[in-house]
Amino acid sequence: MSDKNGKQGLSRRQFLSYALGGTGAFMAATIAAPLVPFAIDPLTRTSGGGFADSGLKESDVKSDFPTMVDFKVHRKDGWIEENVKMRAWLIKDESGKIMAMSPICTHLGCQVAGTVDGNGNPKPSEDGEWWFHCPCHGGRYTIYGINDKAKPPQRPLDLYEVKVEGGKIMLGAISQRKA
Amino acid sequence: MAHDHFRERIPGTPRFKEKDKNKPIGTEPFFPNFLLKEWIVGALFLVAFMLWIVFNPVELTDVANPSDSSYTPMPDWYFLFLYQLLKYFPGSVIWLGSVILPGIAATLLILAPWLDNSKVRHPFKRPVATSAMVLSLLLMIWMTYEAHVQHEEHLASQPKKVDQSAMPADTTLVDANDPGAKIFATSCAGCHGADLKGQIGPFLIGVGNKYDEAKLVDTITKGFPPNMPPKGGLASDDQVKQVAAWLAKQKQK
Amino acid sequence: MFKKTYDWIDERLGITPIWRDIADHDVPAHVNPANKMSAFVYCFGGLTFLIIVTQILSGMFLAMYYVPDIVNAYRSVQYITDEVLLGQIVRGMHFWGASLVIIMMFLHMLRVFFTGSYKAPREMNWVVGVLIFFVVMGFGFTGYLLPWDQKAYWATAVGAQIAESVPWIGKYIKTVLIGGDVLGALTLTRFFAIHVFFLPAGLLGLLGLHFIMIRKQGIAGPL
Repeated sequence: MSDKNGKQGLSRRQFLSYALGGTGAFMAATIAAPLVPFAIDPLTRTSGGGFADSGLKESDVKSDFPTMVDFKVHRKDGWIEENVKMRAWLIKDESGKIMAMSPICTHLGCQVAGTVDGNGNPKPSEDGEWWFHCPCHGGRYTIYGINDKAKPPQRPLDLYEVKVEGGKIMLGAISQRKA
Repeated sequence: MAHDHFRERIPGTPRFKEKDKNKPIGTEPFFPNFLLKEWIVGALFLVAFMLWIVFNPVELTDVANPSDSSYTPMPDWYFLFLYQLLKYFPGSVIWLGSVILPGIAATLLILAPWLDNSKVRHPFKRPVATSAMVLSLLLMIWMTYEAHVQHEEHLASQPKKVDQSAMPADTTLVDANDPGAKIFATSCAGCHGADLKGQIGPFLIGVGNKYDEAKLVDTITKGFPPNMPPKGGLASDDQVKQVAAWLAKQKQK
Repeated sequence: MFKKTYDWIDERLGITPIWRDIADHDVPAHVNPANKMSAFVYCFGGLTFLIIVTQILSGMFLAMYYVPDIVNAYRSVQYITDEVLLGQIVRGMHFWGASLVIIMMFLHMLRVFFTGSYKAPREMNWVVGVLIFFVVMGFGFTGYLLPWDQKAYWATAVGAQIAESVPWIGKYIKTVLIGGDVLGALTLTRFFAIHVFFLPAGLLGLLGLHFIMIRKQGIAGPL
């Protein structure tokens, strides 16, 4: 068959082949339509940005020494939900911004200790500017968590994301700082 | 094709009756002659494999512990060269080693028949392809070896894992609200565990059976440099005393 | 008896041409170690297939006891190793077989490469072979996590980090790969499904193509 311009139109066989291809694609799409979203469901869930209430108020954070706080993060892994205990040391930096440091030593993951008295209150360090001490391999950090490069840890203490909501301090994901 | 003439055989004629003088010398039917030889090789191979399995039991490390970030990860051996490749790229351009380079290598491998498209097949007659493959092969072997050596070195530099075999069966803490316990929780628990079962440092359950308070004060004050700093990182002798007093009460059996 | 049964089926289905197509052909002298010992390098492909078959079998049997759940996975593997009759052996077959498949497949690939057997007209079979290689690496990566021990967990954590390092879309790749933000229950079920359903489907398809092509084109001639 040909039209007025002499161009070859679709032959019956070609038309049927295209229809077959189209129907096949339709069937494939129908099957895939529920399957693909099913597989990528994790993308639709809030990722990592969950904040947890630290239990501290903005006014609790000092600028001279860090304050320690234990708080719980609600973690959901599919059908398993658990409250994970976390610890943070909070301080206001020179510009008054709140910093929340993780006490996990950046060397091998031991828990660093702040310089505190018997009641857990912060006090000046007897070790110059170094205020956090790691009991494992002698790593030490300033009140802002900056590491002593002469000791094993090679980067500052990790930071929590900090958000202040109605005076309450909320802590989020942990991220590394550059060495 | 060279062996097409066998298809002209009368269907149903067993091969051994066929008189075909055109067959090149050494050619033999796949079934059953050649397959039998292959299966004999396969059987020997399997026996060797099974013997290897019997004498090399598979180990199972401890159960996965997501909070133990001090564990040194190590991929299975055939991924080691890729793992090693990552070490040569700093964090900001890590994608060069994780995506770009392996991607290029994989693409080259797939495209090999089109890149090496001469008619000649003997490896010595196509030096570029042969040397490229030999070079990548040596590089992969070297990087695998290097990754292995560095991993062993790293393990050797790690503190030993705590041996809990001698720990008393009863692990209930004595006097968990003691002031010494609180100091312990902030400064010592990171290594010895909040439950005294030990993590990087040894367990302290039942430590009161071995040492009295005075001996404990002495031990903590001296520490075990470099693994445990003097005073265990505590700020004052008073704190050491309080912790020692509490630890001396830990007489679990 | 066997002959009678065969004839009875053949009469109805005509299976003689089928098995002829599959098995009734000649093997050229240059790949036959009986003629020249160095021809043993032509065995690697067949041995790879043999180990893949044992992998499929041992994997099917391991699945009788294994549970892909973070609470029970480790314990079920422990049970297989310590309690099940010959569990240590079956797990060993699957564990060591994984390495052996990689080794044999790699040797097979080197043989094909150095003999230039991938050249025209066999380019497509080479491409399929390389794809099989990637699928097998996928088996290794997903299978390594399943015992849910420390080694498994942290090796996969590294893998996830590598996925995350892809520019721009790395974060999404990681999330889809491990099924969430953390390596946990959803990662294990995901890897299990990929390891025992998705990859085997892909592997069998590719192996089918690989074998059809080699039958169609025959083994490359002598060098």
